[in-house]
Amino acid sequence: MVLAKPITRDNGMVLMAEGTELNRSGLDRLHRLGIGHLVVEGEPVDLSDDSTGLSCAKRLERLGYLFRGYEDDAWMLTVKAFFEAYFRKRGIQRGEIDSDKFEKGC
Amino acid sequence: MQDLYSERKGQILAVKDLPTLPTVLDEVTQLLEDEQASPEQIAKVISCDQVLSAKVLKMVNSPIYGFPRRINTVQHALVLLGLNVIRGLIISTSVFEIMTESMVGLWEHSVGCAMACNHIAKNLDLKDPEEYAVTGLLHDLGKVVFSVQLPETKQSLEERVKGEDLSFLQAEKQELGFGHDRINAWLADHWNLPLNIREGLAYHHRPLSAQYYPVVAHVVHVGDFLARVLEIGSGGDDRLPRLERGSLQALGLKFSRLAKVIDAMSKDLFDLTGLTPTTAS
Repeated sequence: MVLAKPITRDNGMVLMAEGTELNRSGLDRLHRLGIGHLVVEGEPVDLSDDSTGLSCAKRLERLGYLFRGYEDDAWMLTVKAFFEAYFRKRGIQRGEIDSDKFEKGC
Repeated sequence: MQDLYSERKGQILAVKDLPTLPTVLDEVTQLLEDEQASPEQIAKVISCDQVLSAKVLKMVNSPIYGFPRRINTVQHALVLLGLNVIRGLIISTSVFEIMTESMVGLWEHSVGCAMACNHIAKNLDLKDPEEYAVTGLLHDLGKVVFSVQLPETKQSLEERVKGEDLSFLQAEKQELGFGHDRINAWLADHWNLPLNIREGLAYHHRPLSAQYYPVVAHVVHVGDFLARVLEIGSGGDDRLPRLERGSLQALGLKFSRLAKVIDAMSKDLFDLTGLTPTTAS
């Protein structure tokens, strides 16, 4: 996905040139600069996922499988609990996971 | 048994025959031994190989290192990153260039580990985080070289991993009698890599046994674990290695800091898409 029109400040200074390939960090930077909208061409970028294509909710689901074999290992269960809490928190922050549902015991 | 061990070691270390290893690597290694050699001379030797230079600069400018400005020359990269890092990049991109399609996941895993190591080192304010990153990039090199040098063994090893739900390391030990960590140590000696990188490569699965540079081994151990939990690429199996509690303790890496490392990695993950060891992306 590339920028179809340049992004400029009010004084005309170009912040990002036309044709610039957009990626997540670039979009984050623009967001921090207060840029509310831009014109693009090409396929849209899904900002909820990273390059692995896994959302926090999906990662949370996968932990049980990834940590298999450590069911009797107290330390590894602690590590697993940390990742569960991490992905759950980030998932809620990103709106991928319903916090009410979580508080009810999910 | 000893004869078989020596035979396999010999087959694996016939690595000098790999078609993609540039002659520049030998020249740079020789220059390293020459105390009179300057960074300018070394940069000139690398720059003579345009394809290699492009590959090195592509890696240097990747999110693995996260430099705010573009680095356009090998000489500049040498000054910023040091010769050890540049040599590591030459080795990793050259060896991974011969990978088959089935090894693409291993490249992605290595890049993910490199990025994790860089963020861990930065979070802990360790000196020269780039050296930790390149060690992460090289940490599974033994798997690539072994796969190329002993393709039949690789196939039966993969069948063991799937059929018996083993880790790649467990299967290597059953099939070969040693793991890729041992191969890493041989390769590090073969290419005369510095001891800190060697320790990271040889002890990333047993960081508590590292003697000289345990911090590097701990960082790569944790970086490898993070890349696996985040499922960046594939290390050859989908079993998590056991995370050593002693590594987190030795590094002073509490879970709250680990969360910051994962946050930093998540921001860069998107930018890694399409980063390949070749010049084309």
